[in-house]
Parts: sequence; structure tokens; C-alpha cells
Amino acid sequence: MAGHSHWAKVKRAKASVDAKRGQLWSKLSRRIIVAAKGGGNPDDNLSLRYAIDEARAANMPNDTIERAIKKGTGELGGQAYETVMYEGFGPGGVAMLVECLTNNRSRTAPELRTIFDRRGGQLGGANSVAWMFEPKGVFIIASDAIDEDSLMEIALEAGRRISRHRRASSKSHAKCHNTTR
Amino acid sequence: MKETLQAKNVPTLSARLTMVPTTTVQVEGDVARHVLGLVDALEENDDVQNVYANYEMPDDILEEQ
Repeated sequence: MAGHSHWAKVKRAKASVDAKRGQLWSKLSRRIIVAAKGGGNPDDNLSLRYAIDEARAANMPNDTIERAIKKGTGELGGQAYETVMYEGFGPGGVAMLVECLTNNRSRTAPELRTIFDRRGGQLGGANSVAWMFEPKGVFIIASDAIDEDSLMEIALEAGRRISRHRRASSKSHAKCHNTTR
Repeated sequence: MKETLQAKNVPTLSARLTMVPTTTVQVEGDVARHVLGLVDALEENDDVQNVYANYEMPDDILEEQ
């Protein structure tokens, strides 16, 4: 059949999905790279384990994950990424904390400033909003997997407090306050 | 906490560390939409890993996304 290319059509749709997925993967890779600096073994390195879990959940291929780990431990030549928190206000006075992983702060800061300015916000200085936030762990558990009381017990055993517990249709959502921080 | 959950065989659908605001700001309507627009624009940036914010808004505006 002339002029009917199935692949051409597929390619258009696939290109957009692939681009989005690629972007997600590079963000996840960065997280792995930084986490791996503390040690390349996920059994010993908790933040590495979380980072790898997230990458797996996003269907990132194993060798991509491996490569990211090696970049972090320095086995491949790499660039130094650092975690930087930027702070600012959005429309309506909403406080925003932007967690970044960058190899070039002097590129990132102006980019963020532009985004804030263009969209009715303002990039702020250090600690303009950070004091309004605290670190917590969020766990999503299916509500048929456990009941509330048992969940509280487990939390107590682990030395943690559950500070907020929200049920949403099929999932139970427990926020856990990390008492050691 | 994650290890304890796993040890007790509670299947966790997801677990992560996040920054939770101690106070929140109510927004709605167009302001709310602009806030979400800003969040999206920030998340698109390659250097940005996470955006935490203290807004509260009606569910139907969130669903618009």
C-alpha cells in the first residue's frame, strides 16, 4: 500500500513517550550517582537502595542502573553532582522548596530564577522558606494489607511516630515521623 | 521503618523521603492553576529532582492536570 507507513505513525507517538521517559531516567540516574558516592553496595547504603528501587519502578534497564552506580563510585570518569536546595515563593504566597542535583550551580540558579519570575513567583534566599518544612517518610500501603492499630504498633516498635494517616479509596497512606532526625 | 514493615510482611506500595510543610496556604481557581504551572515548569528542568510546596487546593483543580 503506497504512502501508508505504520512505523511512521508509531514513531511519532513513541518519540514523545521515549523523550519523557528519557528525561525521567536521567533524573533517576543522578539520584543513583549521588547516592552511590556513599558506597556502591545497596545493602549497605540505604539512599542508594531507595534510588535503585525508584529506578526499577520506572522500568529503567539494569545496565543503565549499573552504569549510574559506577559513575557515582568513580569507576567511570564522571562529573561531581551536588544536592542543592533552592527556595522561593509561588503565586498566592505558596512556599516552595526545590531540591536539585546539579553539576553546575551557576547554570541552575539563573534557570530557576527565570522559571520563578516567568510564572508569578520569586526565588528567595537561603532559609526564606526551608524552616517551614520537615523531613518525613511517606509510605503507601494497601488498606486491605493491614489495619490501623497493627500499623501503629509496628511504628512504635520501630521507634517511629505516625503523624498523619490518610485513607484514600484503595490505599492507606501513612506518614511516618522519623524520630532520629 | 521500611525494614520493619518488610520484616513484618506488610507490602508497601511505595516508600520515599519527602519534605512536609508545617503550615499550608489555601489557594484556588486561577491562582491554584498558576501554582501548578510553576511546579510543572520546575519539574521539567533537568537539574530539579523534587519540588515541595505548602499549597492546599480543591481536588477538582488537581484533577484538571
